[in-house]
Amino acid sequence: MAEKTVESLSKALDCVQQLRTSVCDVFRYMTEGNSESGDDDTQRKQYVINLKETLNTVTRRLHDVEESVNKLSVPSGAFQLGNTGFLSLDPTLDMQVLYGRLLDSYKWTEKVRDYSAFAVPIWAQNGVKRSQQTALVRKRRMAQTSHCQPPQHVDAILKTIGGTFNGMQLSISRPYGTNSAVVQVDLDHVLKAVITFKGLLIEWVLIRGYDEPMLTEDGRVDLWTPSDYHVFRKVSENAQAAMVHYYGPLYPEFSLRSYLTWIYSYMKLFSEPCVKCGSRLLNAMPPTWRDLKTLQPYHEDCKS
Amino acid sequence: MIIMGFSTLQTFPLIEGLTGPQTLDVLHKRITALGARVSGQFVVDCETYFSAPSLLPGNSQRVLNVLHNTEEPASVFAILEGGAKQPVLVADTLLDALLPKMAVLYTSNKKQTRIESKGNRYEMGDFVVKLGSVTMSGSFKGILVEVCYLACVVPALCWEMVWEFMQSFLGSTVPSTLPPYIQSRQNATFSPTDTIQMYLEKFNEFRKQTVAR
Ligand SMILES: [Zn+2]
Repeated sequence: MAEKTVESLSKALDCVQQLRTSVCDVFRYMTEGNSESGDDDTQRKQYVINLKETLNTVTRRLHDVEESVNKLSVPSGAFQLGNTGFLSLDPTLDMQVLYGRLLDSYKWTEKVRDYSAFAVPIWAQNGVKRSQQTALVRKRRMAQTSHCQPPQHVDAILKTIGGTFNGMQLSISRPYGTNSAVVQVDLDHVLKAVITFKGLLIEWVLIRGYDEPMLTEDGRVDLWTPSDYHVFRKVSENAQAAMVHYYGPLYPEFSLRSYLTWIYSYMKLFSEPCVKCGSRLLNAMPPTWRDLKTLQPYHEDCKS
Repeated sequence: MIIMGFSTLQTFPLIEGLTGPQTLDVLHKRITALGARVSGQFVVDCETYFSAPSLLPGNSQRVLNVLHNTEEPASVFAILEGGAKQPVLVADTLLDALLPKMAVLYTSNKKQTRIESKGNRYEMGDFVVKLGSVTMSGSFKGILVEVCYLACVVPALCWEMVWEFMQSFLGSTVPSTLPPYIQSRQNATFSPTDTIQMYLEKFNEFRKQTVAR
């Protein structure tokens, strides 16, 4: 049924095309005019006859078009995408636009689907693909173990690593289930940090002042409320950037140790001068950045 | 009690040829040029009460100082002078209502003894600066500058940094060592009673000056 409609449609389109060419022929013939000059009567008659002939072609073609159009069946109702068709019936003016747009995006996604269907076999021929894919799979498999570790194991590692820093205390709690440890870090009387883990991977970190509360009203460790102090809000920001830098799912213990070492370098936040400008204060702020490799203090505006 | 940073207090001598208000104006210009902005007014005041002769044996007399600080609007600080230790009593404002009723034990001549430091409060980052004009029974006595660093509560950890900050607008008038009061407790956690004790020390210095003259 559908195929028949398509066939007759294309036939009708052909007819229209032929009609247009014949009309074009008439006009071309007329613009060329009677090329042979002179007042030969027979020549002039011949020209009129030819013109009549082309005009006749036009009428024939027009007849063809009418015929093929008549053959076409009238489509039953408007083109609809299920219930969304009702959108076009919405009486409010600004809603009527929606249906048109919906159809547009429908067509667009259809096209995307077609293109991707074409693209898949082409890309499948790519020879390099295979080795890359296995590398990805291997990485992913190793990573899977570091974000999912037995809590005893995580506790043991945190204790061993935490014990190596003099003046820094770690206390572990698990208010959000066994797999996510919340570690509160007390760095002397300088600052406090809350580090949230997923297995052995650090998920979030927040820095607050030594005198700021670490628990919410219901007694849980507060993971979200930022510090009241400018300096700790800045350090918090930097600690989150460093968290991303030290992220290493392949060697979780190593990256955890590096990260805690980095945090430990804030021990002298209020007394160490910036290595670039030599001052302790810049814009009323101490050096709030610690270099990720050398751990040296820099002001926010002094780090390169 | 709220812990709020580490404060240090120093007198600022009048700039030669300038009056008190003019000197304060110079300081105001310096500190606002650094980027600090005025965040209101502050007052620290102190009234002194003397014990009635009948209270203690012999002729000894004890001095009770009652202080208020706008930074701690809900508290009244009472400090009893004399003795090895000076205990600080922190009470709520009911104490103010109670004291007149104790007139038999402690009396005060408010007009003569009331001393206060009053002026602008500035904020810059985590620093709070208070430029106070000190007046005793209505007459100008001098200038007290309080500098507070809110983000650190242990003086030993941040003293050098606070010193650097003070030098940036007080210049060479900043003593190169910690004030004696803080020196003795620089590794302890700082609290508002420490601030009030330092104010009392400075107020007593101003009072002695008047006696000497
Ligand atoms: Zn710097």
